[in-house]
Amino acid sequence: MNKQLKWVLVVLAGLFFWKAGLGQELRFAVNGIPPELRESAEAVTRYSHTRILVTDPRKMILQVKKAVTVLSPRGEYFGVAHVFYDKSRKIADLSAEIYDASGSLVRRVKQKEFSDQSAVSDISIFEDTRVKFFNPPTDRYPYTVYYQYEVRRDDTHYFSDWFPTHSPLVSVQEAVYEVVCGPGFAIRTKEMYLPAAGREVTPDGSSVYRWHVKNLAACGEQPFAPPPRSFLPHVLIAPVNFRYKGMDGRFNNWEEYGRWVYQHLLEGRDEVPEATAEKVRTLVAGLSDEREKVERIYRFVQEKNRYVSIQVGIGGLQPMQAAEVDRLSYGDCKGLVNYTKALLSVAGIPSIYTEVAAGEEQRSYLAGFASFLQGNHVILCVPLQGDTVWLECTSKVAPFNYLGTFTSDRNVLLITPGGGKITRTPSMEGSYNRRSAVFDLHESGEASVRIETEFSGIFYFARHALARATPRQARQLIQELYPLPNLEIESWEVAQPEGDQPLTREQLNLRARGFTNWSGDRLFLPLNPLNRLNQLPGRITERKVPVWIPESYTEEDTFEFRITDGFGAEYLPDNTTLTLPFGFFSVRTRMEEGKLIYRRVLCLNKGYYPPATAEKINEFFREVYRADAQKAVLTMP
Amino acid sequence: MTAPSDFMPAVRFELSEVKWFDGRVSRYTKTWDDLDQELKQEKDFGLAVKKAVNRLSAPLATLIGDHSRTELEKAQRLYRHFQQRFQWNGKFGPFASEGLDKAYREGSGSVGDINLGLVAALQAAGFEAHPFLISTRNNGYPADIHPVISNFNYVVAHLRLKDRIVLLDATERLLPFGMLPHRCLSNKGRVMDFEKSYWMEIPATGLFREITQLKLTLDSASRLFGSYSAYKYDYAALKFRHEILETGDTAKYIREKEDALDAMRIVNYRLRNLDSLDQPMIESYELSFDPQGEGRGVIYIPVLPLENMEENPFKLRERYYPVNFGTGWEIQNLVEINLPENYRAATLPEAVGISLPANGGSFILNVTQHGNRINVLSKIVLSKPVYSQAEYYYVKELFSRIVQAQAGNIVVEAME
Repeated sequence: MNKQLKWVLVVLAGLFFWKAGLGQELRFAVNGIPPELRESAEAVTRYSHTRILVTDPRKMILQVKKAVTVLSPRGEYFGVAHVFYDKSRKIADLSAEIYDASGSLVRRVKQKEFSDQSAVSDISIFEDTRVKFFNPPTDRYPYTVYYQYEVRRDDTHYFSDWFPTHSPLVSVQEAVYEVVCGPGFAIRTKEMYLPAAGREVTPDGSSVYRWHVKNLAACGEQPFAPPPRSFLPHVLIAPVNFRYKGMDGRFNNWEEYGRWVYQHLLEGRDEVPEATAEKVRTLVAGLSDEREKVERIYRFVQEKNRYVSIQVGIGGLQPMQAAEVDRLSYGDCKGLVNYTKALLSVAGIPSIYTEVAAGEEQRSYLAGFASFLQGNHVILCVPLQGDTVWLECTSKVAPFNYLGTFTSDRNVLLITPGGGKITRTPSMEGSYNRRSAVFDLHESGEASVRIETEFSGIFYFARHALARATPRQARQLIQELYPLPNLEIESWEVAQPEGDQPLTREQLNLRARGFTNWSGDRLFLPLNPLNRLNQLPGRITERKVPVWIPESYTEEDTFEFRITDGFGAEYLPDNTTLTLPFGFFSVRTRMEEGKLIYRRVLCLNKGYYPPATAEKINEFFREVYRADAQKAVLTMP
Repeated sequence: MTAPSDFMPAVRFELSEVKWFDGRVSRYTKTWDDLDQELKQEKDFGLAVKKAVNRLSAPLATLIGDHSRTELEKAQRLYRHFQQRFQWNGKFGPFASEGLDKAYREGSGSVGDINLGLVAALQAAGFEAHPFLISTRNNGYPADIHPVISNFNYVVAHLRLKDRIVLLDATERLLPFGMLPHRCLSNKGRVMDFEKSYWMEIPATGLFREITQLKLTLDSASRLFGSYSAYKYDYAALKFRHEILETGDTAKYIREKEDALDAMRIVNYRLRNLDSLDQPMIESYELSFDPQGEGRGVIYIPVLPLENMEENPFKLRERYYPVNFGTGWEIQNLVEINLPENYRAATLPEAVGISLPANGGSFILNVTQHGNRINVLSKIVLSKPVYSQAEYYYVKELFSRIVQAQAGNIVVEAME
């Protein structure tokens, strides 16, 4: 055979195998999904291959190929082909294909058909992240979206966490994650709920890490589910040596990480103009108590500055100069924390810039695994004698030393000159809302209602909107908060008195027509018209994840219904008390001279409980729901 | 309500003419006569329809089949074909955007692509059909003192049958023949008969109509059991079909129902006519539940155990713009409760009956007893799709009476 022909055959064979390989890879008939993966899923990741190549610390290439079958309208979100990019992340190649249920190709989508829009969050005023996305316009379910892209970036400090699926509504048929490190580049890895990587060294000295997940069934949406990060498998990766905005760095633990961040991003950014320093000294002059000084300075910062979110380039990690914040009177979280820290140091009070993962998910920094961007926010830690004060510097209205559900009770990272240290923010204690109401009932069925409620702890901001509403908005809000029939609002007041504990107090005077209902000579009286549980947590048959109650709190409601003398109760619901590890509920009803007294207490206890608790928690809330819907029946003998 | 701009006093300007520097004059705002001619020649409107008529005749002839079928059947068949074939891409606009041919081939297109295609198909089949320009509810009412084509953002097919006019929109698969989606229920539109276009009120193409029947029997263990059936018509059926499609899973729907009424148990859940769009949608099931009682033979049964209105949707003291439901309402709920021999009704709620002025609507709730049977009839009628600000107070009051009356209870007692 002549050489040329041989070569042609080799190429053809290669082409054939390549095609065959592709054919196999793209076989997306819906009947190829094992039934157990469809059961609780709205979408199924048929195949995903994520590959990260770092040949040297200045270049990272991300290659993704992914096929998602969308089973129902609720899964549509998961079938949107999308890729994020910005100035330092460039898309090299992007395309998609749409398949129908039988797995045959419906159409190809070119890069120019993708929508392109800013991916700036609602709170930001300046970001440059953009997203290209394509959402197939179809309502013929199921369908499959296959897409692939490549993104290149110059920084190597950060690897996104890899999740085979981010959602409990998505099953995974097969997912592969590969990280290829060139000879001059090393990483540390941390697997969560996944076996360790297979690792190979290629002849050229590159290390190839490979994680492989097959047939991961979605567990479905579950009430009281813990945050996905605490049960979905994922992989965290941190570089040992990296490059970020032209700076080289290296760390193996939090201490080294913290030292690098302090030296490269924080140090020397806390100079404030002399005029401001003078103001601070006047502010704290004559105060002997350190805590009081901190509070004065915190109030000053709250009044002077406002929060803006600016996330561009190095601004994503480095605070603005304190002098700049002083001049502009605004800054992002880093800028405002750094500024507050600068003012405190003028008063001779040391404080520590602290990284935190903000949000209701209560994500903790992993003590044993250091990496960039485990958090998304910074707060200020002020260690005082015997008591540490924590400051949220982005809020103009937060009480002093108040972290709320946003940053309390989780591991955070202190960035000290000597390096990073993991510590824990305090949890929210003593959260309650305590309501007492008097209902004056009239013959006509109308009720005049006086309500006084105190909100504390996590409920401090419960009336934030009402306190700032115009009269028209306030009327609407109150109607939503207290859905009494034919409500007339006579007056309302929200106050936040100064004191040791953050407290919000609400006072309302209302009138409701048709509040009670006559049937013949019987009067039907709803016992809990103000704080009803109006939705039951959904039921599920097979619970797979723990039950999570994110916050402890107590609700106390005491209602006094004043009725005309002589009425007797034909029917009052039985008194109820439920005491369980996760909560407590009690309802007491009693008749007194001319009045009916109702008292309801509901407590929940923060924590993780075994999956089997789900059934008990369901019964618990059904009982609450049942009790809340009860009506008393009164008669005139 | 419809678009806020419908109620804000404003002076709106429309470019009338431009005198260019070289002396040319371009006129923009014209008479309807000018516009008729222009739209007739417009390549994404009149011309597109004209061309498509020629191209669609052949393929659609086979679809329609022999000529023995009635005119109505033919039109229905064409309409169904377009509904099934097309996937609306969510884009509005009265003009073709992908092109009628391409859209038809690919089965996907904008409002203009789909409904102008439908007009062409109807014309090809020999019908008198025209594009009907509409401004949707969110888009504001069209100006009527002079033609402003940019006011319109939607087009449907206007079809003249022997005895009536039918408006057809093929963008939604769940619409019965002759019904428009809720978004189209604005005030009026323009029939683009290219010889002489004219305004036409958008007619009420259906009601929000529902009739339910619940038959219950109280057994000796103070438990209620029985059967429920609901007939949903027109917009009630459309809404329900959408809900079922969205949930995709009746088991979840049943669970939510069971939760809504404490400890209710549902068996034999059935849906009929889910796919027969021109028929009423029928939902039925058997149920049982324990009513509240004080345990000594007195039992309290809500007058409408399944479907009482719990909140008045109208809360504001005053209203600055009309209430626009889009359609009229008719909701009728019947409940029958059979008591054992030794039980009797101790008290029944009083009958309630109120009407809106000028036959605008009514509500009645009537509870009667015949021997051991108690009957409840609740009927809400709102005969107009739109109520003015002046009528707001009455509508609000009507709903407040409905909420109050439907919260009533029947008290049943064991006889000594």
